[in-house]
Amino acid sequence: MDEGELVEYFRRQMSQDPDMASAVAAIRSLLEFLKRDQSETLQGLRENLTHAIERLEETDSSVAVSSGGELFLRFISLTSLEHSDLSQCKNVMVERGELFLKKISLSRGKVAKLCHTFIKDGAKILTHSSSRVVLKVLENAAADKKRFTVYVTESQPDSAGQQMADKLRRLNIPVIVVLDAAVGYIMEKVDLVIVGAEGVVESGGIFNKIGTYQMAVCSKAHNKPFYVVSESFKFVRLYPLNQEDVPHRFKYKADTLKTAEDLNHEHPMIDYTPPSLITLLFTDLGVLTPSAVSDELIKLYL
Amino acid sequence: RGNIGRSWPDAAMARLGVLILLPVVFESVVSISFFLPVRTRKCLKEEIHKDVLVTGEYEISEQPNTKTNLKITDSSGHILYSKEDATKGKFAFTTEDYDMFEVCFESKSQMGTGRVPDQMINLDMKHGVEAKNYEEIAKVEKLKPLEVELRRLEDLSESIVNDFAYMKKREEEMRDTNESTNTRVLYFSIFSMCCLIGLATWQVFYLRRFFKAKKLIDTKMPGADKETDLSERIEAFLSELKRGDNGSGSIHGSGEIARETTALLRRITAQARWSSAGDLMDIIRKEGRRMTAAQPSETTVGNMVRRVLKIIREEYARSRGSSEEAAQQESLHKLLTSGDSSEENFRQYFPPLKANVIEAINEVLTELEGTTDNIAMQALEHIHSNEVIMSIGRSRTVEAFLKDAARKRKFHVIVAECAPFCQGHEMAASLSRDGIETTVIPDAAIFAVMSRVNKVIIGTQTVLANGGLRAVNGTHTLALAAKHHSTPLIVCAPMFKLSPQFPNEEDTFHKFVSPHEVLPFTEGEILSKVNAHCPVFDYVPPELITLFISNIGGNAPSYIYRLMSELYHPEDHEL
Repeated sequence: MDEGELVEYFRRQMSQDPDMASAVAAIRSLLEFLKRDQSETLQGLRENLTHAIERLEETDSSVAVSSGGELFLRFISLTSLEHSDLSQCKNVMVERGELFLKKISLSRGKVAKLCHTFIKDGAKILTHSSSRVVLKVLENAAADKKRFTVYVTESQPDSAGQQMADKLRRLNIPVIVVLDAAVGYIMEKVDLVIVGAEGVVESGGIFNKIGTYQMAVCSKAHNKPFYVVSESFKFVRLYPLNQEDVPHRFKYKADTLKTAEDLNHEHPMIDYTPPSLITLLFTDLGVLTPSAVSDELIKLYL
Repeated sequence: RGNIGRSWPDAAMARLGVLILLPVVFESVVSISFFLPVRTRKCLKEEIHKDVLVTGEYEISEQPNTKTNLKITDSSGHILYSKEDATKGKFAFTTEDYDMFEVCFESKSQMGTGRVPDQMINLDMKHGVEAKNYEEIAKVEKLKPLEVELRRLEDLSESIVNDFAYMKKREEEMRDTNESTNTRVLYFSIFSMCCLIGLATWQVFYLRRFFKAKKLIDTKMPGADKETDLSERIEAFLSELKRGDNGSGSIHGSGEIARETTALLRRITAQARWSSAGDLMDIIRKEGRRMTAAQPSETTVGNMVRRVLKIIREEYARSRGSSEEAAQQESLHKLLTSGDSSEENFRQYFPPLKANVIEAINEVLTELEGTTDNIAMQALEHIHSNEVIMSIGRSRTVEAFLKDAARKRKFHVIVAECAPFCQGHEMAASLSRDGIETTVIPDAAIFAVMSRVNKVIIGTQTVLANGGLRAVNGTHTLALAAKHHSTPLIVCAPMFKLSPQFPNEEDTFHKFVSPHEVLPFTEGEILSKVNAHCPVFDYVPPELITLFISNIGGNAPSYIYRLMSELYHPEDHEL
């Protein structure tokens, strides 16, 4: 399977199921790549995979794809440690890979189950941009017969917030779209803030759509709980200390990176929210405080 | 040939005669000579068959002035032959019965004739065939010598045949006796065996009853009695919990509740019927749900149940031989590397599981015993001389903590009274009894006094999963005041207070009691116009807390997640 086919497969996955997380699609494509791979040695396999991941990242420069790819590589290394023979190893990998995919497709459900109990009756929730996980959470809470109102920021430049509002309206949840600039204004009215994440970093902070950081700062100032919902495959091994430390390949879209002359004139799509502003993280591994995230990552990578 | 019994003439001595006499088998010839002292009597006894001819010849030596009498008697006293002053002669008689015959020689003399030497007596007795005098028979019947010999042989053989018949008879008798003895012995031994067994059984029952009465052994009986006893205890515990900590129950303080719960869980493990770890976990979960439902605000009960469930999982994993890590919670690593289905259903049976679980629960109980002391031991590291410590309400842990430090350091304690129950007063009284300088202040003065305080040390009812507290009301005020003045807030809480709950469920989070404490019923007029609430607990967010001191050491609030993962399994968070 060459890289062109891989990208095609990936794109097809994304278009077939728009609800699927991009990391899941990436991992599925990589698994397919693994199945069709012809290399004789483990080293060769790893090299091919690394190239494949790079190609995928070029296609979709989200943090999720990157973290999904790294997770897959780690999965390969861990499995290859147990078996020395490549063909046997491959069979085991394929088997485990399928299992892994099955588990992570369920992770969104697990997160939603954990989080919706934190939404009380009559609550006013503020969320940012469009996140499928947050949607699932709100869906579960509505199914639990809870009454709440949702404020969504518009989230320019792609107006993703409007899409979120549409989806919520379809679920019969009262929703109000606010300007990105109105976050400080609306903060005193809301009870809690729930956002999704594109990536969760080692310190317990998150990468999310631009505008999340100021929402977090506002919620801290008003003493409102700031909850993050994310699946566990979005954990990345990065430790940014400020906004500058966020890698460029995440901040800007792939095409922008290729065509732009001066990145200073470009608008970043991602910002970094430090862990001190986050109250709790809801993941499929359980409810974590930001300090627990690094523990999870260490367990995996070391 | 033949036995002769000799008996001395004295009446008493006569009874000491030899008893064992073999029956006369063959014809016997007695030829005996002995000395007979003066004025003595010597007898010979012999057992002779029926219809036997007995002949005898005797000779007594002459002695002056002595007379010797010969008397032959049978056992019934009949005299068969008697001769006074016998010297020499013969006698003969035929026995009528199988009897004991006595031949007695008695010498009589006049008294005082000095030393008289003994007489010598010669006695020659023949019975049976020998006694027959064949010369006479030959003469009478005019038999030739050969015929005499034949006759003699004939008599001999006849006597032999008789003897054989007699032997056979005797043998039969013997055998009968033997058989009857045998049966008797058999019956006797069976009887004695039964007696023994009966005695042993009685002994066992008696002693058992005795020891039970003295309560030296456990009185649990197998079967249904065990179960009813167990459920009785659980019911008693539940009613204790429901009555609450108003002082009416006998359980005071969360430490005691934790101990009681753990002891009860150990009893359930020991007595309830279960075969696999899964069954035991179901039983404990069911009982745990009942117990937490009885008093939801008492989280210690739920915590201990979860601890025990974790213990069961660990012991099961250890019995299975799999590493304990495998049974641990979800992690990314586990997601990636678990090849098989991770559905652990705990259905395998391991015999030593019960003992292991009970042992582990005993360890937990030992840990519980020592929590207050372990916390108090760390006091000297945190409290320094001439410090001003502030506390609120009454906490046994903090009391022990401060008293331990007071042994070596001098410091001052300010206690906020914590209205409306004013437990702070009791705390202050107790501390001052130990020689600690204590001041009591009303809750409203907390902020005003805070600038002079070096440290705030408080206890709590529960430590929540995010590192926050559920503590007595007024604690949040104290925490905010401390934060404002940058005063460190130290929470002394033993590990059993750590609960996997989050402060999200408002309806079960708070406990309200009668507002009578806030606004007494005497203020009736006002009561109709206002709503009075009396909440018991406060929520303190984790960012206001500096340090947790527990029996395993000091930890930051951000580390609570780690302690929780060690104590409880995520599947048990929801009982």
